[in-house]
Amino acid sequence: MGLLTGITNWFVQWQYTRLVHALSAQEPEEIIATGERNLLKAFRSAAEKVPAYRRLLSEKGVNPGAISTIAAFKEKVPFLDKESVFPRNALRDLCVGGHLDDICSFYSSSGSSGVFSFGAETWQSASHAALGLEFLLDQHFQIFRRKTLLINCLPMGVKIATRTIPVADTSVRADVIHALIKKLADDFDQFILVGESPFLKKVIEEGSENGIPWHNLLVNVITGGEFIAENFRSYLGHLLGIDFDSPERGMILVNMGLSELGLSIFREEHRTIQLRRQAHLNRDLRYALFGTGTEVCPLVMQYFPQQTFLETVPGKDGRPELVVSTLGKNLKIPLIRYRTGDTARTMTYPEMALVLKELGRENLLPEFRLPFGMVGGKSVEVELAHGESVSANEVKEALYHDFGVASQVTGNFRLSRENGEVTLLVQLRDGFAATPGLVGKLSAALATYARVKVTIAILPYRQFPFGIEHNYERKNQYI
Amino acid sequence: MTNFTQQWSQNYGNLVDRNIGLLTEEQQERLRTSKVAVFGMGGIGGTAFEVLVRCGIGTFSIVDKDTFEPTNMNRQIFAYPHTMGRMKIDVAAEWAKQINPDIRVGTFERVGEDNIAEIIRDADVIVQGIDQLKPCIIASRKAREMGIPLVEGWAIPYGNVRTFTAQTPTLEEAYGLPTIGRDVSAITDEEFTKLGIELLLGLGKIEGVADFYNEGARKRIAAGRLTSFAPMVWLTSVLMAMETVKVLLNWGEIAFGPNFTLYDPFKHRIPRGTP
Repeated sequence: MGLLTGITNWFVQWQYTRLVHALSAQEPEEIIATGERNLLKAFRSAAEKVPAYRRLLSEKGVNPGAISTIAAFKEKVPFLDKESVFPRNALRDLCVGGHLDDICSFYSSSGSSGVFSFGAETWQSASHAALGLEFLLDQHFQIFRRKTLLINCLPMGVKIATRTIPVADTSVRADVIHALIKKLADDFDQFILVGESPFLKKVIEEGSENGIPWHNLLVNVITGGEFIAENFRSYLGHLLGIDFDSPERGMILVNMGLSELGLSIFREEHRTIQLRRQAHLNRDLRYALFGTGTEVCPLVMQYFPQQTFLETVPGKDGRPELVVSTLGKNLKIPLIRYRTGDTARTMTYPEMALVLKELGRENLLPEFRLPFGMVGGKSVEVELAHGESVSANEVKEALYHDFGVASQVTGNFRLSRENGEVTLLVQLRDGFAATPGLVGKLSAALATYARVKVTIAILPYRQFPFGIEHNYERKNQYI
Repeated sequence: MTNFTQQWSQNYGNLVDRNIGLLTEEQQERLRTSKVAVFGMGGIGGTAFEVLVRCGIGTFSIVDKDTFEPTNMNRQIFAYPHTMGRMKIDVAAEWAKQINPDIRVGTFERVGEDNIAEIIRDADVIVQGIDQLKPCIIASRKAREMGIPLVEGWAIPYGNVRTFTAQTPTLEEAYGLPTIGRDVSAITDEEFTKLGIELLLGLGKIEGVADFYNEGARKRIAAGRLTSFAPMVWLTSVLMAMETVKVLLNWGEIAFGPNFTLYDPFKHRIPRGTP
């Protein structure tokens, strides 16, 4: 290790030590209060320095000077969304200072919703993002103790900023990932795969078939582009040889936010994963946390209120929709009251502590006293008459309910409604033919999670009419 | 007072109409909202499953890796000429749907340490009707860890049932198995087979069994070829189904392990029940 690298690592670790100390020592109420103070500062800063936002507030008749309390903020500050922000404004007008001069990278969403959204990183904000990422990586995977290779399988050239560990940017090339792991298996203590869930499934399955000894390697996975089923995590864990009770032997965790804007909001950790896994298996815990009748658990994650202010408002379908205000001082494109379209509910740390205590499950309470987000992702469901519906999340749990079924399908599917009936088309993996009883098994699995009767058709890979051309560069559209 | 019947479909109301009286509507609703995991869809598990379906239990997980074959016909309730060669779980799930169209049945072809938690997810009771030791141990260990009662019975020696909970000795302790404290993955299939046969032969220690199971039957079991007879099999299945309902409703006296609760129809008596 060179002197410069050594100093950098020491500095990074010192920063983490401070962060861990702060998170462990602060009272939950104190953390929330800090976030609320930061919110008002972030709002005033955006109103002053971001031309498009200044214009919007003026159009809506909002006087920034009059927003001095959280109550006033919630009452008067308008909501933003992808459609109202990105198509109608020049990107420079969305930036602090109204210029693009100090930007080091741009991001774009995949456009799968029909609207492209954009993010931008300055050198300073990139450094800040790297700090957050390395904190996460060290907390979970001890990257300063273990020689680590991070394999970035994210599509479209999305970068992962770190200052301390090597990164292989493979994009969505499974063969390249396998070649790298085979070549470097003896040179690293662990690998961290970062990618979107459908592609990670492909990488890990094909790796098993191509002789990657996953069970003999220490492999961690970070995903987050879309909602993942708990059964999906179990399936990947089964292929990788992960023991979910022993995080030091590998973890599969979700990190969610608005990745196209370079924003990480929610993070899982060992205890929140255990919490969701236990809730998935135990009706009493699941109903207490997510409501009576819940069959599919939302993701259970924590967030930093000092960095992101979260609210929920009734969404189009009446379910709570997540609204985000970014609080980072260095962000180039700050967003205030930005509607994400994600179904989510927040819960304070003391509220969670109380629920778990009542159920005698205090052992599942995370160490950091941060609030929780229960995130269901985009609300994707097909409704029938009588208010019944079947959702993409229910199908996702069903697809991975039985590993025999999971191993035959890509994970891509399409729900639709015709003549008052719901049809589910499921894509088989390339080169696979449906085994006898596959439809029956999937139907039985779906009945575990959804109340609606669904007609299921299993289609060979090439005959599945949706999304093959995307080749993992766009998100699957499930309806 | 809650009127539970308003939540029932007409099909369900018809199905359970004759239960009411012996069961209250509240107890019936408890059965409707309960989940039972049944391991094995053969002689024991299949019959217990059908009885439980007819009792009105609303949700099941069922497990079996086999297809029906002609030698199942003497005792397996879903074995018919037209079901030969079909997966037992598929046939059983279809059958259950005909009895109760509202029922939810999750099916699994195998039991492993990697999928046992999903099989018994949300289960209120486990019915153990598999005649192989490995899945039996996997299920019983996970059941204990997750706090789910496990009802066990065997096709031999005669009608028998017992229930394991967190308060009873474990199934492995009850049989005195040398598997206690060992990882399942560290035990070979050969050892499981050997222990399974020993376990079955151990049932012969129960008082009076030798009167019914002659030397020929015992030699056959020792050779790994099970012997079974529909009245005995179904008797145990019905006892297990009844025990399951009792556990679900916290009703009557539960047959807690390690002792078996037995009925010997051969001599019309209640033997002492320790294997």
